[in-house]
Amino acid sequence: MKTIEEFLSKDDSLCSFSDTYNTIFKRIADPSATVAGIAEAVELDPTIAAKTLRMANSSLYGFPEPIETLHRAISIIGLQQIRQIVMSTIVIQNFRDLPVTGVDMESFWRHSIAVGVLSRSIARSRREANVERLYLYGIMHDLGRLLLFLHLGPRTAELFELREREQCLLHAAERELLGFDHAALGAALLEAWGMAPAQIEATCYHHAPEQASTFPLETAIVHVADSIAHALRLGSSGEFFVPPVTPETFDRIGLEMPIYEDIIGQAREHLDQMQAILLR
Amino acid sequence: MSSSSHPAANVELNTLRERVQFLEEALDSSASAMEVLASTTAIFGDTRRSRSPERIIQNSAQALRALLPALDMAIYIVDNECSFNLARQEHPGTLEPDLPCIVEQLIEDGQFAWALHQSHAVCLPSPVADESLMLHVISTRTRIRGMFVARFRQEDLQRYEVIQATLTMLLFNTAYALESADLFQMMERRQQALQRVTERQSRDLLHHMSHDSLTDLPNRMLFSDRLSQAIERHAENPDRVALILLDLDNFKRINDSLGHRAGDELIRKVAQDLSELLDRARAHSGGRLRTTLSRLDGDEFGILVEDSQGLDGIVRLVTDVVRSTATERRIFEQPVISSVSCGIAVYPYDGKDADTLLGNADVAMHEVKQRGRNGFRFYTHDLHSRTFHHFELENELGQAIAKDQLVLHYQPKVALDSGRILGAEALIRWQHPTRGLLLPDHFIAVAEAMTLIEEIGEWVLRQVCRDLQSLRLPPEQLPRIAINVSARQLRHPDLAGDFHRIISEAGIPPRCIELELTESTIVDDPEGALRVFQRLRELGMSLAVDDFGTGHASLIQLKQLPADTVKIDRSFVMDLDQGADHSRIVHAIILMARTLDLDVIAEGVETARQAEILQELDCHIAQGYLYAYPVPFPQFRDWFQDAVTLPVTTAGD
Repeated sequence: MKTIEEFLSKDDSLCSFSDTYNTIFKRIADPSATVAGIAEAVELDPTIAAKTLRMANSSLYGFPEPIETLHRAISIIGLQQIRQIVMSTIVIQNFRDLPVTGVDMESFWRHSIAVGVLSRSIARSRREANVERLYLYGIMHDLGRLLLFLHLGPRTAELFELREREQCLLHAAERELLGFDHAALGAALLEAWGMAPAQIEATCYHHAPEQASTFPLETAIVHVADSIAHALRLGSSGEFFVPPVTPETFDRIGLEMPIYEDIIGQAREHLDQMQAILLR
Repeated sequence: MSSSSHPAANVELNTLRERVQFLEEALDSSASAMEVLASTTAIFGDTRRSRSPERIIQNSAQALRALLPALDMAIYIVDNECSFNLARQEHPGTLEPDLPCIVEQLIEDGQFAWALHQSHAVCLPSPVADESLMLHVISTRTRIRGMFVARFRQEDLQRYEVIQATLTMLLFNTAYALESADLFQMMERRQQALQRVTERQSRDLLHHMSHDSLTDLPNRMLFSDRLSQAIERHAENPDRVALILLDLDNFKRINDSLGHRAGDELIRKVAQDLSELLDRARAHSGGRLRTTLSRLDGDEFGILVEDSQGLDGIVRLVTDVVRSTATERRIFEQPVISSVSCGIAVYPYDGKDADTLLGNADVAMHEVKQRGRNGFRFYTHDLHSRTFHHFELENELGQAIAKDQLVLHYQPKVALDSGRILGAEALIRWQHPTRGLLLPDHFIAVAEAMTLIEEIGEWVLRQVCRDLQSLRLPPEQLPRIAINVSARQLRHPDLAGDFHRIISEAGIPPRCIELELTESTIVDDPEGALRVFQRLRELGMSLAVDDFGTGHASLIQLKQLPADTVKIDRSFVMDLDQGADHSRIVHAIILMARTLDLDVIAEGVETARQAEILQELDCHIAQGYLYAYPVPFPQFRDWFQDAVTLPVTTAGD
């Protein structure tokens, strides 16, 4: 039995980014960075730069005019917003080709993008100030599982057998087998990366939102988005069953049920575009 | 070691310096942002004073100014038609192109609409080089209320990033303040609507309470109130306020013959005519005249007149009212004529308060009724003293029997030749507690009007019986006592039966009781008189025609009456000693009575000469001051028991 720490320390390279990504991360995270500075940083990786510009021109932002330069994209979308977009793009880019057994990577990222888009949509419906934050939380919420599969290797089959035997949710099987689940592992990873406390909590408790004490709203949003993505079979993170939504989280988010229909409609619309931009 | 010798270290140092500078600026900016945030409660429309949208936008702009030193700022607010209107601009017309023109362009190319759907600040390129536009939606969680637009220098963009969160909160607060202002306004409108409804309902209720339902005119309550107000208004000006009380003549008859519905219809029509008449009068008066028409009760109306020119106008008005009301109206296809009687009381002569004025106008109106209706009359004090006196008397007379204030005096009837007492006439007196002994002239008319007369008549008979009993004589020796019967008593269906029962119970023989009825009473109701007389006669009582010669009875009537006696009226007797012409009438009466086989008694004999002449004319019985004044029973009893002879003509004066 491995502890979370052991998981994280086992292969440091898999838990970190390339130098270029690290540089971009650092420079866009600098609060004194200017629009020009951030544009410059993003352009360090032409793929990331191109994807960011395509994102800014996607239906997700729906800007009425074509945005031709990264500079313009950053000023229109906003400095704070662009950070999350770039970060999520880098994360996907970094992890998409990992040799992971037990899960189809395309499906895994489709699920993650779906949760990201849904979380963003829910936050937007609530008129949250920075909705890209929730987009990032959604995209990264299941990173722990990727890490888990990566390290379990052949033992991944054990996990699925247990799930089959117990007919339980995968994260419950993880806990039974390892003593912790992918949510806790992912949270630990984010903490190691120095991500925002809200993101760590939302990731950690996205299967148990009632335990989120400091950022219950963000956690609730990711929790509901995850459940919706599962229910609509928008990709898969290996989970076979639909994780149930605790009713309190709906109350916490405070949106009327019919609004979720719109949210799902919008998410479906954006998802294919996002997938095309981010996974190809 | 100098920094210049290490270029890499220099770059690092510069970067650090820049960062420190930035952090200092950010700290400054954050401090002011915190201040603004702390004051955002001022934006909220949570007090009555700050509840208007204008006020909220003003507060909000003030906070925005402190937060963003932009080149220009504008706030757009969504109206009910979902279009955006410029609610405020910081520096209108100072920069080219003006901010609203730039916004026009943004609206046109869709960037404005796009920015509305971002819940954070967005920076858009400005048509002016080196400038940027910042747009931030002003919205609550559920509703877009407007848009904040600012223009600033390109290089300042980064500084504004820091305060973006504050900006978002501030505009969010603004949106909620507008929302709550809306709610307050809606609540206020509802409250006002509720108040209007309540007011209308209470007005209706008040109208209902203060107006007559048949005519919709003010009722007595409101009328009294208006009257009191008018009195207050004109407290210093005599002759300005008059009260006209108006009563339909013969309304009861119309009601009885045509039915209540017709009666109501007539009231309604009269009310309408009066209203129109008063409206015209007011219109022609040029503001001089004020009137209030009221239905006080049944067929009684009241008109309150205020005329700044005094009584003349009031007289003209009431003349008009009387003349034009007495007209023919068609009530349910029937022609109906109804005149009115009006009584008028004028402030302050006829009363200083509403109740007194109403009471006195009523007195005057009844005076008109008594004088034949269809007219008007001003109240006078004389009218009042008479009425008041009457009223007082009524009250007291009602209690007189119970208080044992009535007494009988007896005036002997004397044989002219011997002076012997043959009997007496019982005359009623009222021993009034304050006014002394009152003669019947003062109160019998009142008693008749009140129907007290029957009670008094009965009392008189019983008292006569008691007095006769007290003589303790065998029935055949009892004197005959005459009592007066009034016209009203005559109408009693069983007067004879009642009288008979009373004297039977007392054990007084009927022949001892003589009933006197005036000639005029007999003329007014010959059938009634005949019926009662016949019945009384059957019972054994004797009957006399009083005041004979004054009532124009026909010989036929006299012949038919089963009377025993006629009493020659005192007016003829009084003149007897004034010459032969006067005695002829008395002689004729006596002859006629003899012819009809009637006894004759002369009333009011005051002189010996009168007695002498009467004897010469073959009249043998008399009563009058010559013999005796009416006296209390003990005196009469003594005379009778002692068989005194009262002064005879021969006694001489």
